[in-house]
Amino acid sequence: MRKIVPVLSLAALAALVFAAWGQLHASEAAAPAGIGATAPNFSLTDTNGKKVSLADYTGKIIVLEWTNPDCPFVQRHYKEGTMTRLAEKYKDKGVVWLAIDSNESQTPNDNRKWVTDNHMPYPMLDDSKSKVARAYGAKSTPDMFIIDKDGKIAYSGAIDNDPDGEKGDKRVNYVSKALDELLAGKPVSTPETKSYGCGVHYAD
Amino acid sequence: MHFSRLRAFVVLALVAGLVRAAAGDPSSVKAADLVHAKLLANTSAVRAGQPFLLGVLLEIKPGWHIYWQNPGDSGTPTKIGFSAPEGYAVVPLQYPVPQRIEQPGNEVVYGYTGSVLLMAEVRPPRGGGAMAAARAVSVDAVAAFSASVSWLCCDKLCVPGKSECELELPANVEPERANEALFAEWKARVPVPLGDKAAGATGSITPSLSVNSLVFSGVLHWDAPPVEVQFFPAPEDALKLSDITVKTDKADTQVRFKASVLKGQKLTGNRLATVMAARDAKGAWRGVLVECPLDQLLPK
Repeated sequence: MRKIVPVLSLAALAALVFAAWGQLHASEAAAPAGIGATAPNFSLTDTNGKKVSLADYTGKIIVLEWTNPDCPFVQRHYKEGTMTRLAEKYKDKGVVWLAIDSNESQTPNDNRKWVTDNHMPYPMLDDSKSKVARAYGAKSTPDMFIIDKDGKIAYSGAIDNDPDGEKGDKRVNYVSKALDELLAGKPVSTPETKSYGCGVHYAD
Repeated sequence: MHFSRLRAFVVLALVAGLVRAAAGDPSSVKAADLVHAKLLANTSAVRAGQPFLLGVLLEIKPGWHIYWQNPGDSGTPTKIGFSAPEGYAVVPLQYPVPQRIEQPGNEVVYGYTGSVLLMAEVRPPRGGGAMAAARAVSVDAVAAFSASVSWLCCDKLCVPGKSECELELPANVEPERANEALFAEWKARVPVPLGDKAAGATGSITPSLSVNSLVFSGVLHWDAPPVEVQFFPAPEDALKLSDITVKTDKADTQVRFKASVLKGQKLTGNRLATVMAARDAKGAWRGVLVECPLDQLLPK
């Protein structure tokens, strides 16, 4: 009898700890993941119908680009090749780039054409239920997130400091700056900035 | 005034619209269909030394909105600049109290639907002196004003737009009030600095340092109990606000929020402008401008 009691207490203790941990995680799941938090996993379909999961790229640096071809900010950047050129540049350094469209009313045909017309070297994923947007707290397009090799969110915010596209030489691209730092094994000096752009049209 | 520039502008805007339409823009919505801009004054003529108000009336297509100086979770601010003849002093007024627009996904933006009048106070130069004499010689006794406005207009789509508007007012006739009701309605919605007699509230919001952030808290006592209160902060991009709570009990509003500088960024100003807005039983909004000091967050 004496031997059983400690085991029961341990089980009870474990149950309590588990319950408390469950509570903590429940509240964390409600609020979107922030800087330093583990990047929420997801599985979405690209414009060719292929399934793409974040977990496919464990151990890599990943850039998530919230996008919307109807948004004038996105249109300007794609005309300038901002994202496509960056993705191409960092591809050789092992950086993965994924574009996500979380708008409720997106059209798959238009997105497929957008990918082709812009020679996008990365997939565009369908998040029309806006679940991944909610998990990350993506508010606008473009909205950028960088996940480090340990699967933690290392950058969240704008693509650059130039919402009006008029800064010329003075423009600072926050994403390339952060990628350079991560690739050099340094901490990201500007991990969070205010995004600019059109609102993401969340599904209700 | 700058007619050739205006013409070039109009041509550019038209071409931009055409290019967008040609590119297969799904709705082919043109900026001019969404927002109509008109420059007005609350006077029919100018008189030496007599201040008056200029305002750009922006009329927005139903279902669409444009943004306040702080757009909120997305969008870009409406920007405006006024020009007047030499010798005239032009002081833009604060933006009128905006609306809080909630969108799915916990997105909150601050902006205007229906219409908004963005105003400036104009002080003509005092009569007499060489400048007035020189002006009296000019062909028409007319003062020419202009305003240039740019905005982002959204519903499910977003369409940027801009407009250059002009207005000429005679300078040699007796001025009469004009557009009284319009200017009065919107002037009443311009936030008044806390401490001003016309503010409609007294109180204070003060900071206390907490590690690397400032926690602001305070109470505003309204002259009359409001039906609804909204808080509209306008932080610069380097400043992050969090844990905002606003609680109103009868004529008192308690407000609390945390402000911290985003890592790796620098504050460019030492003030955080906030607007506390109250709606009365008739549905009219008024605002109090509270400037919160950020000195404790600046590098020493």
